[in-house]
Amino acid sequence: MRRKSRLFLLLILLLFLLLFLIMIGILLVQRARYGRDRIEIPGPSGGMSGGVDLVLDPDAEEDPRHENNDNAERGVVIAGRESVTVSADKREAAVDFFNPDENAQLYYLTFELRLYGGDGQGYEVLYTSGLVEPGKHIRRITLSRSLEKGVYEAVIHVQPYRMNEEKTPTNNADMRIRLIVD
Amino acid sequence: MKKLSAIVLAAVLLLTSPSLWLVSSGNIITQDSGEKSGNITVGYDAGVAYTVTIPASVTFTDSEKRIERPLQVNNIVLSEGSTLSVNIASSNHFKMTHGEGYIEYSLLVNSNAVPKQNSFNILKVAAGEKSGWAILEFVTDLDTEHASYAGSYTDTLTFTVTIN
Repeated sequence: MRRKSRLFLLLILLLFLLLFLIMIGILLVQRARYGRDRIEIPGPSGGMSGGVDLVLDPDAEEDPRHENNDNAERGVVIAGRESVTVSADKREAAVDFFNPDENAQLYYLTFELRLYGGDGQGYEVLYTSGLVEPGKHIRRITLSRSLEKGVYEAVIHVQPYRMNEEKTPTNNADMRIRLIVD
Repeated sequence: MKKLSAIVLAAVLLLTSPSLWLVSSGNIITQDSGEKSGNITVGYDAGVAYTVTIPASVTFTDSEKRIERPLQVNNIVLSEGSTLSVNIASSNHFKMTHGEGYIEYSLLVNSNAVPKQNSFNILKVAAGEKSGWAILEFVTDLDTEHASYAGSYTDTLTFTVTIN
């Protein structure tokens, strides 16, 4: 009789263990799906509760006026800064060169950090990026050489390219900045 | 028997308690008696920033010889007393080139003609203003006197943004 009771209790324990593992599994699956697939629309109070699941409408298409008419297209959006700060005697630098979301499906951007000499003596390229997609950032760069402490005249040259097969370059922008080396 | 039951119950409680913190996203709130007070400093170090929207390109055709495009600067945050300027420069002095040949065009900014010099100021925005814009008007008569060959005649414009 006592052995039977022990066996019964052991079974209950195993049952709880099984239920616990199932619950953990469900929670983990829900968390993984929540982070990957769900687009939330804030509720009337501005919070995220009461959101609905949305998918991209397959019937939505490009405005045909934008396909073959350069004069109807949107301009290139470029984000600017006043300065970039790097550490003295180090080639690695933290920056934020990014392609704004507004250029989605239209333009890649490339970034070139140019160090200008005095008296209009031209410039030296310290860094050149590859194509940066809309919505993406470059946060760390490696300069072609390290610099001594000081404040230098520099330019971030931004060259956009169309997101077509030829990747044709468009008009471009130079953002004059102070390159602060400390 | 009682001892065994106690062990089983304790095990069940121990096993189910982690699920509670999983659901509650890990925030632990504690409360004790007595009034508590404190101060925090709320701040944000706003760096100088802006977004400039430049025309990607302009394509003249026989039916479109005068084309308007906007230049916009938005989301401007400048240091007090400073000014944001945008200059325009043409890589071929406002000529669309193809090999040795060229076709001239001209630019008007807010209806004012821009001299065909190396770099010309087209917009200034003072600190405190959140945006600024200019209407660029590209004009050509598509005079092909100097266009030696058929092909695509192009020029590239560079917009230079400076903060002083």
